[in-house]
Amino acid sequence: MNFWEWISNLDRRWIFLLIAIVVILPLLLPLGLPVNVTTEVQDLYDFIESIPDNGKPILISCDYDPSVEPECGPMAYAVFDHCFRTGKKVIGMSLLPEGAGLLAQAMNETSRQYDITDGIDYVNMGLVPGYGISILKLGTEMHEIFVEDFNNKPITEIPLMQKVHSYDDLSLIVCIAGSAVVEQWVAYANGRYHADVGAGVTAVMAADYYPFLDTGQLVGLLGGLKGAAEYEKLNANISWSRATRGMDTQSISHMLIIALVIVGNLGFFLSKRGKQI
Amino acid sequence: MQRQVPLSLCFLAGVFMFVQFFIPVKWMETIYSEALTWAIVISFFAYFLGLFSLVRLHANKVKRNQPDKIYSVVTLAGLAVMLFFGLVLPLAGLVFGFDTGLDGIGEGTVVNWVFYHMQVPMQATMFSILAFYIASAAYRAFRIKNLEAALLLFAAILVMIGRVPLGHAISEFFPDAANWILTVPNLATKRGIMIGVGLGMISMSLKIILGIERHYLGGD
Repeated sequence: MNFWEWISNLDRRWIFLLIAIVVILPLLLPLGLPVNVTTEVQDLYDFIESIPDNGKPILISCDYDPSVEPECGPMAYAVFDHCFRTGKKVIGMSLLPEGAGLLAQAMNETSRQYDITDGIDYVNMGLVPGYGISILKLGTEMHEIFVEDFNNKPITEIPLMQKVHSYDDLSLIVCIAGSAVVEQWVAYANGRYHADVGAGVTAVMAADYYPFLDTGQLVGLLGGLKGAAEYEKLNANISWSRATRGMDTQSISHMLIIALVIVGNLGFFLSKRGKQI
Repeated sequence: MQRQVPLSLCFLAGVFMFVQFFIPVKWMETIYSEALTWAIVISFFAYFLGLFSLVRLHANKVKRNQPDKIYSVVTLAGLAVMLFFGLVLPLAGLVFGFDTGLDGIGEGTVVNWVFYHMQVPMQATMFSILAFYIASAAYRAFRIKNLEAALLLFAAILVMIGRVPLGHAISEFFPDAANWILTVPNLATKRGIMIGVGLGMISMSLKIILGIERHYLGGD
């Protein structure tokens, strides 16, 4: 076995070791690479900025489960922080059972940083089962879906919800998701009820949503941990910088994967097996 | 009769939902809103179906003494613990008037602790392991064997560099190139796929409403 054949058949445990090193090292020794803000992230930030301080509430739907929390969680924290810092009213909900718990965590931790009141400035409506059907139903009468909040408080006793009955009473919907549920928000909330929708999705899904940005069906988009890091940069709040901390790791690991693909191809074509093709 | 009744109901419901979209009169909106409520109530039964299916699958594995039954035992034990502290104990507390402080879903409860300290980190870990497998798979499988593979690799490299801060630090070319790939060729391709999927959904919906597609009734 010559060198290139050995490279071509490299034991995958060496690759795992290399990945582990490039993931851990930048977390211990940060490079502090500057994060550039893309247009789609800036658009969502600007849209929220343009909402008047005591204007209509923003509905934030945390439709992600624990498996994608490391990617979607920082987006939720960044958007909640932005809304609370700038005095926007926020209604939180989740279409996923596990998402309701993650929503509660994100909402509680970010709201604690500011002098705001549960039920007046923000409210967590918890789990709303039914996916697309519930999204449609929210457009007819929200009080039939939001019967009580996450803490079992009846909707009739929540001041923030008294004037909110349909999408017309909201300024924006932000869906943070690790699944294709964003398409249902676009098709039903925007398509049927003309509500403004913004989204935060995992990096692998982000490419699917560019057509919606182009048509204006999405006002902005956060794509993966990078999108969250960009939003954190716009927020300039040092309390929530989970995504920014991960950017060095992501940069180096992307470079390693590219290097591995190039070396893998070199090994393949310079080995006997590759020369036969 | 067994087939005609559901087919007729499906036809009437389908035609009504189609018509009400174009004729927004009060009585139609009321029926539409009520139909959505029914659909949400029905969707709740999926949770019971899921629970029943999970218990049956894993109980059978344990009963048949299969080699990997330990995983089924852990699954059933986890389910039992969560149901006991999340549902049975709070209901018992409500009926008999006691509060252990451990039941329910609020802070300091067992369900809360298991969710945030076991389920969240374990599921996140499982998904994170994907990075290792992707790197290994890319190393072995991403071979430039033809022009299409070369184009895919070239686009992937540009997007991977352009979407991270290091690419921006190297040159403005990389983020610009990545953005162009995402907003021009990617967008055009995605749009074509979405239009195709949309047309497919319309034709399938029409086939179901008109009773041409009957597989949802069961049988052949």
